Amino acid sequence: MTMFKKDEGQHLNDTKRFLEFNLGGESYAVELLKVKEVITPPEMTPIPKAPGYVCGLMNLRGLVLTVIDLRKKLGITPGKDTSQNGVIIFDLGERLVGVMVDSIQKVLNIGSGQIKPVPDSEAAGAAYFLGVLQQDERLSMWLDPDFLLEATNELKKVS
Amino acid sequence: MDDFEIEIKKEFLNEAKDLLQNAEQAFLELEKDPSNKDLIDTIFRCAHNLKGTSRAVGFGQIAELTHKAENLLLEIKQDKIIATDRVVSVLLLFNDKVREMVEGLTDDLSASFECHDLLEDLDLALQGKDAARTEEPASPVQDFPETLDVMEQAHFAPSNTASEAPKQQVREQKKEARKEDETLRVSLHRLEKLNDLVGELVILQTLVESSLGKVGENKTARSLGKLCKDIQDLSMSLRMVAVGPTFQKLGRIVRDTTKLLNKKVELKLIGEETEIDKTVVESLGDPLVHIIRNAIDHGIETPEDRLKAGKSEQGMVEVMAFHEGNFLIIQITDDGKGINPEVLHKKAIAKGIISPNLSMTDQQKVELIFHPGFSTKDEVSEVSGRGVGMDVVKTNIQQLGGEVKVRSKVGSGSCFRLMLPLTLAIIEGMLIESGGQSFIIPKSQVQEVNRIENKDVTQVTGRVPYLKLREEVIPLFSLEEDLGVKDRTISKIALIVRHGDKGFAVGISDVLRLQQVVIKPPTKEMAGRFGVMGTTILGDGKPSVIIDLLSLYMKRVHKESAIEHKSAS
Repeated sequence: MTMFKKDEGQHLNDTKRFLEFNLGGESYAVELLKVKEVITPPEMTPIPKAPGYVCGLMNLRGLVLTVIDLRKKLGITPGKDTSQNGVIIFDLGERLVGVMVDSIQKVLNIGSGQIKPVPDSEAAGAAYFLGVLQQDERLSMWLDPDFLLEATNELKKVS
Repeated sequence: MDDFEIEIKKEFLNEAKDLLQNAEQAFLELEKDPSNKDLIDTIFRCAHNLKGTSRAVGFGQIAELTHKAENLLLEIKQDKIIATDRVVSVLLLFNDKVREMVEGLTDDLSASFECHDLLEDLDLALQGKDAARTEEPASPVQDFPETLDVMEQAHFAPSNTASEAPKQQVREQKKEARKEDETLRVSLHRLEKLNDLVGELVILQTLVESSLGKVGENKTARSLGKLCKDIQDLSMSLRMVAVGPTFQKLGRIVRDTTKLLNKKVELKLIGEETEIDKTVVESLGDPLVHIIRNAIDHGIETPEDRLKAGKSEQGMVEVMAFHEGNFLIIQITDDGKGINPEVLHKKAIAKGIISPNLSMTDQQKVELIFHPGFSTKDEVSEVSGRGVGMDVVKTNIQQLGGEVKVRSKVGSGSCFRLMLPLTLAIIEGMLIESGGQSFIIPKSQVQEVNRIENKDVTQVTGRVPYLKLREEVIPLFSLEEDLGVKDRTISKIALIVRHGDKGFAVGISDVLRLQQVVIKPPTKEMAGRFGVMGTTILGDGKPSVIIDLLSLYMKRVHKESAIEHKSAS
């Protein structure tokens, strides 16, 4: 029925755009569509009784958001140079959440062939990741945004 | 049906939807926790409001049904009937039925419904018997077209003969209603977002202005500043509506109540154009109706009695709205017989609400009217009900951050004064410091601020320390301990909070200043945690947490006083 072969045009649909960022020395990425914006770390107000991985509250043009430190949540030692630090504002559908990272790298165009499954050896962290993005020799872990949702829901339970 | 009647009926239907929503939520929680008396109270109040207003606007069927359900709820409330699953499911059926009716009436204001089965079930449940019919609940979806047929047959001629004319009329009415609707409905969420953005715009504009140096010389900056101010005023005003429509609903209530009681009353409305926040005005209707009903039922005398007392035959009820500072004041004054403090006092003693030894001023006695479950009429009255009125009024108004006051003079009448914040979005806040962090506390919760002297504090092992405050001894909590703030300091200042007859003190490091803050909802992650009422952005652009001391501490205060009771006896 269709005028096109199945493969044609598929590569366009299959190219996903990712935002690459660093935690410690490691490279991570998230789908660009989940990112609302990227800002330099704002001044933050601590939240009482919050777990250690919560940085606090920030003011995003009149909206109050929670910012979490992904490095602490994943148990990664933060990098030394803090001038590169950034906060990624994630749009998780029902809410916005700020995430503190060591540095923001760049936008990646990744074809479906470049996305590999998470290796078994990563079993412990496998739940956080949707795959491994391969660009030539470099690898980035594709972070599952639902994990952020869970992490912030966890925050709700602690009191 | 005249325009006025259509309008109040529509208003009622919108209100009813909210009430049903509240009731349903309580029902759902009740299923999980059948012994929870607060939930029964909530449902009871919803049913009571529904009964009152539905009768007033002329939806007799709903009134009849809710009256039955209210009786059942009262029995449950007084522990005469146990809320078994069966009983709860009858009540749920009732809730569904009323919802169905409200929806049906929204489409057609003169619809009528089949509710015989449900009335029977309610009766059975009232007699303490299990309702057999609950096994096969009527499906509302299937039921609905049938009831519509019934309605058409009952109110109009059969459709194959001369039914065209009335149908036409209905259609025209609907068309008209659509035309009148020239205003635009905008979700509150979007308005709030606009306000947020405008707030930021003003902060940024101020920053730009100050970086330009001499503003007066820059014409563009000056115009921009003016424009920003205008936009801010406008965006804040979008939430404000006039109290007029809420007041007008009272006219009907007065008319019907006076007819029922054979009294003559004139209603005077003053200040209908006074504006107030939309969310406040929505919660204002029920309290006003309660007060007006009470005034006519208990306050205004019969024409004969009035003539005997040397007053004019016709009584007067005046409802006046005006602004006072950041508050809207609504005063409801009647020229009836007033509230007799001695009668209330005796009643309260008889009901065991207060101890006979307690000495009270007349004013305190009059204020007993706000005590929960207090009714001065011996028998259940059709009009103002079972005395749920005034305590509901007080709770509703307090929930809005307002206050109710009453003044009364025997023989010449009473005056209720409702004081409401102009907007729920802005509160008077107290910026405090505790353990090196700053928080906002609603000023309305703090009764006084005291310096803590060591000699006044009694440490008790394993318990909350006590603070001696004049003649009283109250628990002294530490805010930084309870909020888990890392740096521990010694609390130097105590905020004294009172709720009902309980008081407690909260130790903090310092009070920085008082300021108005715009309340923003807590971030989703924080909602419902450790007494967080909301968040706000301070003048310097930094976010801050608004702490609700009552929700943070009231449970523990009750626990403390329970321990006290035990050790005393």
